[in-house]
Amino acid sequence: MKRFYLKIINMKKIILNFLIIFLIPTSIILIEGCYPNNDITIEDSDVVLTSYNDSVNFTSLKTYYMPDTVLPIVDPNADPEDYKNPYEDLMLNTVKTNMDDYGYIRVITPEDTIPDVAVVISVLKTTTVNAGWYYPYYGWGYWGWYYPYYPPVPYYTSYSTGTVVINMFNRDIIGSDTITTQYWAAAANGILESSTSDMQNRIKATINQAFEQTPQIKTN
Amino acid sequence: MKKIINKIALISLIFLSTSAFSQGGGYWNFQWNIAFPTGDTKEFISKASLRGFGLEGRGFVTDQLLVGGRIAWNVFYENFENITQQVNETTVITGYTQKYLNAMPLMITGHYEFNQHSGSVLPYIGVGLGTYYMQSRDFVGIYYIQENDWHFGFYPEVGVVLPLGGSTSNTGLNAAVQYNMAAKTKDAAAQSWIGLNIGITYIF
Repeated sequence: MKRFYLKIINMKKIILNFLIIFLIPTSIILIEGCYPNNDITIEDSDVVLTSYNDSVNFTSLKTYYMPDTVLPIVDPNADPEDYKNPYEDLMLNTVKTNMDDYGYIRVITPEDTIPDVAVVISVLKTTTVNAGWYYPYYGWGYWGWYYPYYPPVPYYTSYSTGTVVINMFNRDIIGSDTITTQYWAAAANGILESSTSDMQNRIKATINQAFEQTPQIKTN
Repeated sequence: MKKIINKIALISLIFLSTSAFSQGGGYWNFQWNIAFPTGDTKEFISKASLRGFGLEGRGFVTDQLLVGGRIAWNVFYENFENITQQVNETTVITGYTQKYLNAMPLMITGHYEFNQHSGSVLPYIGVGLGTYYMQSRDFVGIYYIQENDWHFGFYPEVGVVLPLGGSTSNTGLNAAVQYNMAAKTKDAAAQSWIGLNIGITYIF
């Protein structure tokens, strides 16, 4: 009988060790999985999303009106100086070049010549802030000095992203406050941390990509 | 006749139970896991995973039967670079795409060892039954869609333990092949992969 109880106690110890060994990695994994190579360059952060209205016959369209400014989507309480867009001309010219290549003819005065569609470009800037604290590795051999307090280190990071939004609407939107049928929408988003020449290249490349990935809006 | 059969059955059951307690011994396996995705997992990530580990303990309940448990962790990862993907019929997205799948099986295991814990080669077959925790992330640029799911799952296994330094040695090498199958849930597709596990065994 004694041997029987000793065997049970040993089994209990083994099970307890087993549970502890299971629980520690289980909880680590459940809290945070593993994501290797999860760092990308500024250029790799660029994303282009497009969507078109498949009930529209784009080959029947010919002319478009586009304002000669890019509309900033801003917080009404913000300082307008924060929203100066040094790339406004680049955006307008790149969209115009692509619209020309797709067979559209620009109308300058919609009051005189009614266009088929209206193209509007707008920009939006978003700032994301992360803050918290972490427990760094303080090195071997000195852990005794840190008892009972292992000091955490606070961190604060922020980054800004910019989005260029291009919308193609039914012409009824011109001079009107009401939303009309949207024919095509494109959004190009990326982190705003490049040099001026890099930003110019990235803006041009993403706007070009928006047109390239929707050949359905061609009129020719 | 029926009474005799019942008595024989009862005595056999008692012998079986006592032999389980008198047997003792088992294995602790510490393994490096390589995983080759199949099925819907391969549709998501086609590259094999070299990032995985497994920890397993099993004890003899009879001369050749072992019961135990296993926890493992496999990380599947594939970098698609800058690609264009169709989101639906009229929507397209282009960006730097990376996909991740963290898979964690938590299993109860049962094994049959052919050589009764003696010899220089100890082959076995076994099964695992339990749950798989799956966490996936689909990145485009800095944005991602994450899904966390628990799946009921099962795996058959065939493997071998090689005691180092003779049949009474406490350490050995082990190698096994498994076919992991995580069943589909209401929100997630089924996942499956072939696992190749290599590692060190502590024999007790």
